[in-house]
Amino acid sequence: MLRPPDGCRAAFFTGERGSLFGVYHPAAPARDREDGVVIVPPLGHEYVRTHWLMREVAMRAAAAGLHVLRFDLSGAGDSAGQFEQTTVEGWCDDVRAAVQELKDQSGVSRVGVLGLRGGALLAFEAARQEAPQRLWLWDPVQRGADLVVQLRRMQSERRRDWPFAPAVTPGAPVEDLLGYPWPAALLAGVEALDLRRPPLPRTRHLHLLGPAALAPLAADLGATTRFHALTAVIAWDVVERFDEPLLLGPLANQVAAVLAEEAS
Amino acid sequence: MSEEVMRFGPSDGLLGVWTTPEQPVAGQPAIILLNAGLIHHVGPSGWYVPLARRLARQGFGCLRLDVSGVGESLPRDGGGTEVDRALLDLADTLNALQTRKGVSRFVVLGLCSGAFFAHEAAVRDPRIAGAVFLDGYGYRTAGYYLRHYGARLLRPSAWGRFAARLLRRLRGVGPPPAPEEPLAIAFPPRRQVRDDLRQLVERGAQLYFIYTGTLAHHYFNHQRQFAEMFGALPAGPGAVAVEYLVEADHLFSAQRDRQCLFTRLDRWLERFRHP
Repeated sequence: MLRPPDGCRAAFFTGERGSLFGVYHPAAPARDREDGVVIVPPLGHEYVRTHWLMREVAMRAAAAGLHVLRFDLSGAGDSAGQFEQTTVEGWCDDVRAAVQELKDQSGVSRVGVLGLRGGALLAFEAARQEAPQRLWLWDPVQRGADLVVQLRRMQSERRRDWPFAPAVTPGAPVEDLLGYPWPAALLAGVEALDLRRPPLPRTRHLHLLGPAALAPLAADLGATTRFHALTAVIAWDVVERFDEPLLLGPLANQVAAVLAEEAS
Repeated sequence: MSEEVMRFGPSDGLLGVWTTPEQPVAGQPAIILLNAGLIHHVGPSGWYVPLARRLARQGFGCLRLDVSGVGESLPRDGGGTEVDRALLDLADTLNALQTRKGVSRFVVLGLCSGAFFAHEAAVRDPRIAGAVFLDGYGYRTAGYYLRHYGARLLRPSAWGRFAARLLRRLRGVGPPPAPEEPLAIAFPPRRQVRDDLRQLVERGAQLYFIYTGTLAHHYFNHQRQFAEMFGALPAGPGAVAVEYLVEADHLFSAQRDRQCLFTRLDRWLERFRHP
């Protein structure tokens, strides 16, 4: 394990289906709250877009006293496997493996999960089986079917700017959507995900973070769900920006502050 | 497939992911994949990862590198330009791979800004035996303009837009028509790049330029433009290959275009397989 001056440790760890790439940010020693957070990244093209943002959140949350692990899902980023061979079940296993990994690395027993966009859907799904102490849903995709519709629409719009871009082919064995080869089974698995579908996870502390328009969702997720309004509104569905990294320092600050506040 | 995280450079601030070759061949170069702009070391749509694994299966060790201040690497102290810092990063990378992996020859692959860094590093470091430039340096030529505007002259709709723009300009309405500027990066003078290429070929470096169709609206629109830009390069132990992939976009977003790129790279890398 190698540790540069910023304290984070990047390494591969063992998942159910192969090695997963993770970066562990230990809590600042003077502020250690003995609490941990696993960050579940978004899916498909949104993963690369949000890498900087997730790193910033992790660094700032660690500076505020949390142990943080961010990781790549199977078949994405540096983790083992190919994207076209991944499944929703496999990704949920990855989330659980990451929680265990953070416990092992940090020594803390209280570990929450923060999921961003499609990652929030996955975190929620994984929590139905094994509920973490805390669950933060950051600007979540509310229904997987909405994400699939959005991907296809954006790919279709992309062809207006770039006529050679692959056509949208619903039902094909693999759909080339915004740079990622989505197999039909994976799309079907994502389409079946829905935050409102019962049963809700038995997580004691459920938090929803996002723009004000997201507030009504909190009531659907249970009376104890807390909503945290974020000032930045990210246009996830603008095709011209599908590959543009999100460099939003103030937003990272705000999210890290919510994590630190709720973990204390 | 074996992969490991490497930390090196000042205070171990640089990070790369090393893919170990499945059947290493002594003397075969390692391949270094450089960041495309601010995209971290997995590359656009993550395709550096399957590329690295594919190369490792062919016996090439491969490092996907984050240059300082990008992805998982820390910013480098000491000022200088972005290119200065990238050159220091690459020197540290080559040194680390030489020491830890026993590799002494390298091929660097860069896309966009990564291609510009690859060029500058190749000129300075003789350990770099080859370089792949994806949408690297390029300059508009008379031929570029002829192809760009010539095709439009045949389209009545383009004449209509031109007339409307001209009319607005004559009336003083709206801004003057903006030329289509190259990507927002300052290129060195063409003469300097040409001299660099000559030097590299004379040194024996193998160079592979691949331009995508996206550049047609910026600065490159035909394979023969390379000769228009740089003239005939001297015959030497090195060699220059050029391709123009008109259907590929700048980030090789389509699987089809990536497969096309990977296949071409396989073929081009054959020259390094039997050192």
